[in-house]
Amino acid sequence: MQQDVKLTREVSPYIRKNWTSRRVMIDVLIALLPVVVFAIYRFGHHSLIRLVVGVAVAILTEALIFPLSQKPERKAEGFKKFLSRYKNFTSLNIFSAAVTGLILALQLPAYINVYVVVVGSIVSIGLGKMIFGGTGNNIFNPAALGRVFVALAFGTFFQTGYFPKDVVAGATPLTLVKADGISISLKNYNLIDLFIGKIPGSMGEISAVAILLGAAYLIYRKVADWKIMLAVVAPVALFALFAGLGSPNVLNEQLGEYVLYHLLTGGLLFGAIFMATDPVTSPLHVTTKILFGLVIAIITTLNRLFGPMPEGMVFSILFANMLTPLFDRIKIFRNKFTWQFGVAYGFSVLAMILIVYFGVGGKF
Amino acid sequence: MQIRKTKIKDNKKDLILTPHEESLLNSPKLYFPVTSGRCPVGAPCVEEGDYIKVGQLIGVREGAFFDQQIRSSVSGTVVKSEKKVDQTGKLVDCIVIENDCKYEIYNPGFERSDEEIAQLTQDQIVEIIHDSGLVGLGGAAFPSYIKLGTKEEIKVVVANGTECEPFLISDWKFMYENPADVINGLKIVMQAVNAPKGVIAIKRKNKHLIAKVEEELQNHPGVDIKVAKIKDFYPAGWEIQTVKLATGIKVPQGTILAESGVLNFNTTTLGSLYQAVKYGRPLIERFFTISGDGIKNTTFRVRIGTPVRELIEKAGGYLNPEIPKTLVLGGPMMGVNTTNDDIVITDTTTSLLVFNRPVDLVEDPCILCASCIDGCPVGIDPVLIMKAQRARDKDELLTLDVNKCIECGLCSYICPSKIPLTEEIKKAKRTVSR
Repeated sequence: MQQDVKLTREVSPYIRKNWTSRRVMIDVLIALLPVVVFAIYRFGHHSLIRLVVGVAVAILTEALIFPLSQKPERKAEGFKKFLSRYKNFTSLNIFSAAVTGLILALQLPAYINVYVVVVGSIVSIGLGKMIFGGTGNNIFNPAALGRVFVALAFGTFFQTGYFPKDVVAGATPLTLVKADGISISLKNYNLIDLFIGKIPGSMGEISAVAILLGAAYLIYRKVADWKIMLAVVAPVALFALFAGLGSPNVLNEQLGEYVLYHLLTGGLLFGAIFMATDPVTSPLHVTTKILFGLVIAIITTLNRLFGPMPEGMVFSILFANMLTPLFDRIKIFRNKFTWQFGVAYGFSVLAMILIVYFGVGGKF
Repeated sequence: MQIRKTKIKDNKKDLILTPHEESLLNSPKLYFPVTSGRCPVGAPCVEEGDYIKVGQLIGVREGAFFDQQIRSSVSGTVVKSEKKVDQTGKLVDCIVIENDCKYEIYNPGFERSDEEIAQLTQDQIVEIIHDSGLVGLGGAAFPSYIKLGTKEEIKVVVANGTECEPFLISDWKFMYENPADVINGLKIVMQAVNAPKGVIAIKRKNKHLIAKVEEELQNHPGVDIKVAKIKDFYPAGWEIQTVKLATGIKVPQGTILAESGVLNFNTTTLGSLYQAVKYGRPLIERFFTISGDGIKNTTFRVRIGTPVRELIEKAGGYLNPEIPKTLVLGGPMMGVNTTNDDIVITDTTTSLLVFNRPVDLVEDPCILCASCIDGCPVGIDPVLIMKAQRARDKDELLTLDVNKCIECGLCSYICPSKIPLTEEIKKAKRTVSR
């Protein structure tokens, strides 16, 4: 019995793990769902419009710029020739653009002018990603780039963006922490409110609960690396502790609240969980991932305590992104924790603790 | 993204629980390749028309620093040589023996008593193993007598029964059917190299097999042999990994195991080694698995030299012959692809996998998720190697330890963008050596 079967040629391995880059992007979208739901619950149609616009413009920008980077088929003519440039345009492009657009929009205030969202989305995808060659080739986190661009270009829009038109503009919790010290801030916003998200702020960044739900999903699906999340959040907490110890405005019994206050305000959790873990712009090895997190933590802390910008988190992510190619080239520690890594990390943390402690006015 | 140790879902459990085909086939002709992957030259020492008995020497394969004797698994007449596909997936010359179905044994009634075995010195054991033509049956086919002849001080001998590649069960099956042979073989190796300790490495999830071996161990008092329960991941069966997990000894990559005081043998090899010492019998049969989604999964006991086509026929032929298939000799991660199913079973042929093809694999751009780096058992950076190779950047490749790669296939397996990383690294090895 000789069966007639076509036998194909192939190279090893012959089986593949059942997951795809598309699935990764969809998982990120699912993880963002609690945040999105909370934003819509909190701000209603104001946030819904801005989120939809952010995502739609991002996908559109990706689709418009994509053909410029592709070669058309030689034989095709006219419109078909143009269409052939879309041969490699897959659902991965759509999903990754949607993730960028959504993360960008979630970082903006709910009442900000819609045009700001449009411009931010275009800049994110166009300048942040497509100009480097599309998915996987970008140096900076596209959403962070777009967020910083709109912060610099439309600074005045943000002052009114956090509150509805008929409400007098107040201060967001993070701006208060600098001006008057912790006691006043805590009077205005208690920790439970901060945790749930009953505070003014950007749509996606205010509710720690929703963000942590997303983080749990990301970790469960092994889509994002918990080591990066921890590497960002833990040093910030440590530095906040020493800032609290050093600062004459913070009483000793308020230390715990002060540290939590730092963790729950601003874009720290959102940035650490959804932006710093972006695989494309974070380093490849365990050790350098932890150093990468430390860089973000240091710059965020410095910005919060001594700097003028409330966008400290996004700035620090961009700065750390810039160092990623350098981190990837480090040969002395890759996936192994060597003493060189210990020295580098320990020294940086110690130096930063001293800077923070004495910077806020601490005494021996 | 985080993948430290990779479990691969497969049908191993089902396979080992289904009973194997007990009856040996009476193939009309049996084929014995005169060369093998390790031995590029070889010659028969019999001529057409000679009458051969089971276990008789019919030829010798020559390798770089060793030779392997080819022994017949049937009795019958030598006929004209033919070309068949062997374990390496290539067409090779074969000695062909026409089976007379009498299976007359070359040295009937030969048996060494346990006392005689206990008297054997290292040199005598090495000579017996050399004459039996035994090689490592895990697939690498390294001749066992070379390993046994080591002059280093050996602290522990590892019996490697992890068989970490998915879909393969012939080692497990052998251990399950003949646990005493494996233990006796291990004892002989320990006696030969004067090692105080022996370890049998079995995967932790393989509970009934562990129970079986531990039960058998009670019949062997006075020897220090333990069962090491190994974590279930791929590539736990890579000898450096197995030795580390089973004994805690870290062997530097690129050195010989014996230099670190360890010897590592496949469990099926140990069983055959015992047979060779006890009955002077070379390897004449082994377990062979046919698996994959394109065929009815069956495990056979077969004579060495049996054509695989007869086994495919016995398993009921290919399922859905209209779908194209990919044939793989060995495991799905490191096995060899062949486009010709005219295969013969040699001592190192463990299995034939039949996969329905084509599977829809679209290569997406790399998203630098670092799964390949986290999963890599030797700690190199597949993604950076792939990028440097695609950019033809030889200087960069030289800094990336390309030659450390053991081609286990994990990086390609894990990649969410379906990039053929293992293939790119193989190319990079050629680029570097150029």
